[in-house]
Amino acid sequence: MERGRTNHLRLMGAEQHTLFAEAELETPGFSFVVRSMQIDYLKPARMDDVLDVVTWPVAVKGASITLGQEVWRGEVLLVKAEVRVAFISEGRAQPIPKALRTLLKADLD
Amino acid sequence: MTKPNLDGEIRAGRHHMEVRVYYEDTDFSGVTYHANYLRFMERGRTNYLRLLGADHRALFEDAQNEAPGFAFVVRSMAIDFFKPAFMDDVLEIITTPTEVKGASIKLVQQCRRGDDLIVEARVRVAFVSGGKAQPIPKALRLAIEAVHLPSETTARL
Repeated sequence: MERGRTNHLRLMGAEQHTLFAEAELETPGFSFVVRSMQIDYLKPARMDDVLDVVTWPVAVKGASITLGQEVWRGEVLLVKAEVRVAFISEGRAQPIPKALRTLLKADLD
Repeated sequence: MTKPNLDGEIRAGRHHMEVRVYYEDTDFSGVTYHANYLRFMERGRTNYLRLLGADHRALFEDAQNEAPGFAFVVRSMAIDFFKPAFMDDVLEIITTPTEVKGASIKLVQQCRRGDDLIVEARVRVAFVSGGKAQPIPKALRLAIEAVHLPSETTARL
């Protein structure tokens, strides 16, 4: 699920290069750290399974984002989680720059 | 066989165990990688059960007869990451059972560095035997409840 979150951000950065560059200027070396997770383990996955990890933003607040994540094997839901990540820059929680917030909010359901 | 320095100990209804944060436990930003607390807490639960089994061998054998090859699997976790832990820190992993009911046990687990609460998790583990969730055998429930639950819960016995 960490890989899902990392790649989700990576793809957003690739698609919206200017907005990410703006955020980088405003808050140099920003990153997201996990603040809390609520995880339900519903079914086991086994050796050699191919899993589909689905990640989507469910809420974007001042300094944190809540993501929904699910792990599927085909039609079977194995794990579901709600993850809150805090935005940090220079070692401290910071408000998420507007450019980045706009970008994340665009994907909200 | 249990080894106090490896397995930790049960004191006043709580399992205590120390882990040191090694380089391999940190991520690229130099703090303990969040998923590693899940491993630390798993070790806490495993050692807690190990000590329980050592202290209550007869009860565990009863449980083993009733539900052969039993195990506990994590059903859900709610985890709060409050503060970072760093390379060389010694963390205390404290495991407290809060409820033993039907086919599952609820635990609260804390990772502390001295007075600092680093991570806290509420964990529900399900009892499985023969690949299916099963009611926890009475013998095992007694082993957990008798000595190790905090007083308010023990009072019900």
